[in-house]
Amino acid sequence: MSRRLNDENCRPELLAAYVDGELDNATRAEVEAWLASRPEAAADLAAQRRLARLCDEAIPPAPSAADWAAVLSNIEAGLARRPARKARVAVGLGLTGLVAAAAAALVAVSLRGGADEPFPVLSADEVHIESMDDADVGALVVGEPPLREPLELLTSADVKVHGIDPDALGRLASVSTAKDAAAPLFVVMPPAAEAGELP
Amino acid sequence: MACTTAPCLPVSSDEQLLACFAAGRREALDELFRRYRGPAYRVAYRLLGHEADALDAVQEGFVKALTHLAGFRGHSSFKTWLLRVVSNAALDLGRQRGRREVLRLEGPVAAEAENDGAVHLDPARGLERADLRRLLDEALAALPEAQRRTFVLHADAGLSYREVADALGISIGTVMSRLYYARQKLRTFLTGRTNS
Repeated sequence: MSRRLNDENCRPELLAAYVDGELDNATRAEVEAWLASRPEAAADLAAQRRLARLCDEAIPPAPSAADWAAVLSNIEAGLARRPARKARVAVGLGLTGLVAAAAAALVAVSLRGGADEPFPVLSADEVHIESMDDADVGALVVGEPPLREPLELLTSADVKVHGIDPDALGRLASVSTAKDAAAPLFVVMPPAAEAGELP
Repeated sequence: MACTTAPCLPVSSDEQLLACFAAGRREALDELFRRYRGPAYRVAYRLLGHEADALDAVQEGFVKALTHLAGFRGHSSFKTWLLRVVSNAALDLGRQRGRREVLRLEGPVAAEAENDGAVHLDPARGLERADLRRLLDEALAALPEAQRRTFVLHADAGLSYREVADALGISIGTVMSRLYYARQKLRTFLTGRTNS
C-alpha cells in the first residue's frame, strides 16, 4: 500500500478483507495499526466475525450416502447421454429486419487459430447474460437463432457480395469487409441512423 | 496430460484426474465427485435453500462441466470452474422452480420472532441448527443475485477473493464490494432476529 491508512482511505471493504484473511502482509499491518488507534472499530470487526460464525454453524443438511450415490449415478447417466462436446462453435448471426432484407449475408467466419475445435456449442438455455453495457444492447440477438447447427466459418476473403437488395422500406445496408483477409470479420451494417430502430 | 493405465489415485492432481476422465477412466469421475461434491452442494444449497434441488443442481453442474471440458482452459482451477458451472445451474434451477416455501420463517423461529422480536442463538433458547439455517437462508434469499452468488462462493465454498473473481469474471474490487454490501444486508436482516 502506497500510503498510510487513515479515516478517509480505510474503506469498510478493507476491514472485511482483513477479517477474511485476504490482505497481504503489508496491508494487514497497516490495517492493524489503524485499528489500534480506532478501538471503536472493534465492534464492527466482532460483528463481522459473528456473521461468519453464524454461517459456519448454519451448515446445510448433509445428504445421505444413498443421496450421493444417486447423484453420481445420475451424473454418469447424464454424461452417457451427453458425450463430451466436440468444441465447434455455432455462430448464428441473427439478421433481423433491415439486415436480413438487405443482404443474404449470414456470414460465419473461420476462427481456425490453433486448436482444431476451439469453442463448445452452446444451446440457448446454457447462456446466461449477467450484465450488458447499454451501448451493446443493439447488438443483442433476441430469440432463436436462424440456424440450429454449426456453421462453416469463413474468412472475409471467402465471401463475394454480388448485390444487395433494399429492404421493404427501400433502405440499403452498407457492407464492409476487413482489409486483412485473415481477419475474421465481415460486417453488414444497417444505416447508422436507423440501426436503433431494428426490432 | 496423458493418462496412463496407472490407477487414478486420490493423490492425483485435478489435471491428472481430468486426463484420466477424458481417457474413459471411471474412477477419475468418482474421485472428482468425491473431492468437490461438498463445496458444490453447499453452494447450490445456499442458492436454492432446498436439499433436493441443490442435489439436482450439483448433478447438472457436474454433467455440464464434464461435458464441456473443452471449454475449460485451465486459466483457473477446476474447482473454481466447476463451482461457477454449479452456481449457474443452481440459479437456473431456482429461476425455473422458484425458491421454495421452506425459506419462509416457520416454526420456532417465526414464533419467537413474533413474541419478542428477537431470535436467540443460544441453543438453550430453542434455536436449533435447522432454525438457524432457515434464518440464514431467508436472509440470503433477500440479497440481489450477484451479491448472493459472490457471498456463497466465498463463505460456503471457501474460494479466495481471487478465485471468486476468476469464477465470476469480475475484479477483486468488485468481489470486495459485493461481499461488503452482502454482509451489511445480512447483518441488517439478522439484527433483531438474533441476539449475537
